[in-house]
Amino acid sequence: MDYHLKPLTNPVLIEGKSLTLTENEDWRKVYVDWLTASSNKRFAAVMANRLWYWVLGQGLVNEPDDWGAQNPPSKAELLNYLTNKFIASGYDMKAFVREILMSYPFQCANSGVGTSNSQRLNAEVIVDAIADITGISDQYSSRVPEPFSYFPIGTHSLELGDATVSNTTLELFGRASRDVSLERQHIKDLNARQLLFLMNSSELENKIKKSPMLNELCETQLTVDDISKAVTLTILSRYPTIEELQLYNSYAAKNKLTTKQLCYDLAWLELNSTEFLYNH
Amino acid sequence: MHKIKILSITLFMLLISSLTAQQAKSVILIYLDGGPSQTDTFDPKPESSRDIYGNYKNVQQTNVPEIVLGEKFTLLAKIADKFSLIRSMTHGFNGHETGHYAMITGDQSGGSVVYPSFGAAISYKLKDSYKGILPLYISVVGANTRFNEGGFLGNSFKSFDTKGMPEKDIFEVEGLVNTYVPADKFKERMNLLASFETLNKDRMHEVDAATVQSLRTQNVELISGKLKEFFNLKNETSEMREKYGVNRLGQSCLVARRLVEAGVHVINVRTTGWDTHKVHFQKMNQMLPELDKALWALLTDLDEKGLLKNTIVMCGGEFGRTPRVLWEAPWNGGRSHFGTAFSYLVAGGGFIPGKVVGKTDATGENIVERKVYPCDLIGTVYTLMGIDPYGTLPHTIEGNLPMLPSLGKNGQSNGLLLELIKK
Repeated sequence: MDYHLKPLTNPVLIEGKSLTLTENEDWRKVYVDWLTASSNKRFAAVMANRLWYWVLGQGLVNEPDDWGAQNPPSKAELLNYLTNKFIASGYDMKAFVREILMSYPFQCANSGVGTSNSQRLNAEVIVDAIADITGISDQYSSRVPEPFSYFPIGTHSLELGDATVSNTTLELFGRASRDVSLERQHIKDLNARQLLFLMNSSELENKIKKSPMLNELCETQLTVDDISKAVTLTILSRYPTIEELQLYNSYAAKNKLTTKQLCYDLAWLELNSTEFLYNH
Repeated sequence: MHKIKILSITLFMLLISSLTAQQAKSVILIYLDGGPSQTDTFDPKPESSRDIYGNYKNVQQTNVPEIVLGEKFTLLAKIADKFSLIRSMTHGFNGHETGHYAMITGDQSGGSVVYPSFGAAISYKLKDSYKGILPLYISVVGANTRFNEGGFLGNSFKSFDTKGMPEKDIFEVEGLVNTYVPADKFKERMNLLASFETLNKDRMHEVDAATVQSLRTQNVELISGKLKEFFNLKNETSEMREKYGVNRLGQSCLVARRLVEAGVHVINVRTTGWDTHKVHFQKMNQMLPELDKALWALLTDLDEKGLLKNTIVMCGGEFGRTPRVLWEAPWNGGRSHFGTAFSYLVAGGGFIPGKVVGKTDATGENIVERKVYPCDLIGTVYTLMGIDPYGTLPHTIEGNLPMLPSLGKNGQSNGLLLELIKK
């Protein structure tokens, strides 16, 4: 498609201003300039609301796709504050997320602003976490145009700009295909097929068994407690409790497990746990 | 005049509604990914020249006088009374992506809306009446990977992809059947998981533990119970396995027959390697006999078990291949992509067998009779499955959209295949 072709009629912006385009002007650039200009507050408001939604599980405009007049923000003043803050930061997403994380609503559970929702981790987060924990990264490739091009080993799914570059695990856990550009296209619920992948797939089992981190652990002469601590710190970012250590010790003893078998089983266990799968 | 028009429309609608009385319960698509040559399979041109028929000058006369097949189809030639051929499929696309999209979704409307695959659409329509525990839309060995099958219905309507190798001693089905975690080990792990979750139940807030637990229980039933036996080809005699051919395609077709018996609605058997730009005939010498055997075995087996009358079998690719052979280097006897005129085999589920729909000219480069567009074929499949092809699917922004936006549009449709439907 030739994006330099002049549109048949001069486009009119939502606020009523008519645009005239010159012969060789790329109208996609004109559109994006308008869309992201600081005068277009709606863009910043939608983004601020989405970031709020991603962190807290519920948007101030909820659902975050529905900006119709019949669906006003639950706290208009707060949204307005966040929108201005986001613009003032120069659309700095990191700074903005820090702001949310340091806020009272985020830090106080059950404050009534929406923090009481546990959320299943996003598809990208789950897939990247499994890759990082096991040290076995996924290979991503682009099929269009031919010949296929391959992303460098170690590329995280969060770094993929193109929705057509994907893999079955990402899609399974609900990465949006962007066939419809809605937040709602992300599957956020847990379903049976996702659990099937975690419980019994060759893909996960292979990643665990080939994991350099786990295999290195197995080669050292560590106690069950030491192994449990290392695995739990890596996967759940905490130390195991006394009860858990008792559970793992009796599990290892009862099934007469080698260090290696124990390592694999604990990795499988914790990757299957509700604690791993959900924000909390 | 007006009244006559209304009357004829009413009659047409009546005809359609009487047809939507469901005849088929399942659809099997044998998808020849890459695009098979119609000239060497279902639309041979023995009267043309070597530049067209290439290395296959001979043909197979069949048990139906008007059906003649390519010379490698010795087994299908014996059962031409069990299937029909469409020799005038067309969509005009010569790129894999656009060809796949048109053949699998039926959408050629060219709009910004991305349609779901027909399997996803059928899944959507039948999900509430489906009682099975196996997924109702399954891809044996591999899903169609070059576009997102769920379309605007979303990823949850994609097929369950078995992966694995059914031609091996044990067919490992991703998540279901494996050789690396024995049953007793799996049980131990599940017990450990249950203890872990009990210890940590207070750590999590507002995760519905009951939902997680019930999903896990459902999976344990799949993994440890009898349902996975539908994927276990050891339940078949070795004669039956050999009948289908002990190769990826043959055994995938056998799995498909078993899934029909399990009540699965849509089964996509995907076989790759058909994109034969180079040394085409050498590859066909190996691939066509395997296809011949697999299709013959599937059709006769379904028929003998009384399943063919309720099971649609379709076979074809995203497009065909150029009738004219490229003899020169680097192709060395290759065929290119060809979306202008290609063939599909259809059988069972209410399709009238032993017929040929459409016709190409002497070289096979142009359609001279009854073009059939993707939406015409898919709409006919919907009709046989008891789904109104003029019905709608829900789009989150656009509201209800037609299932087949191209159906009835000039240049994108030439009408449902009423001539192939049993009245």
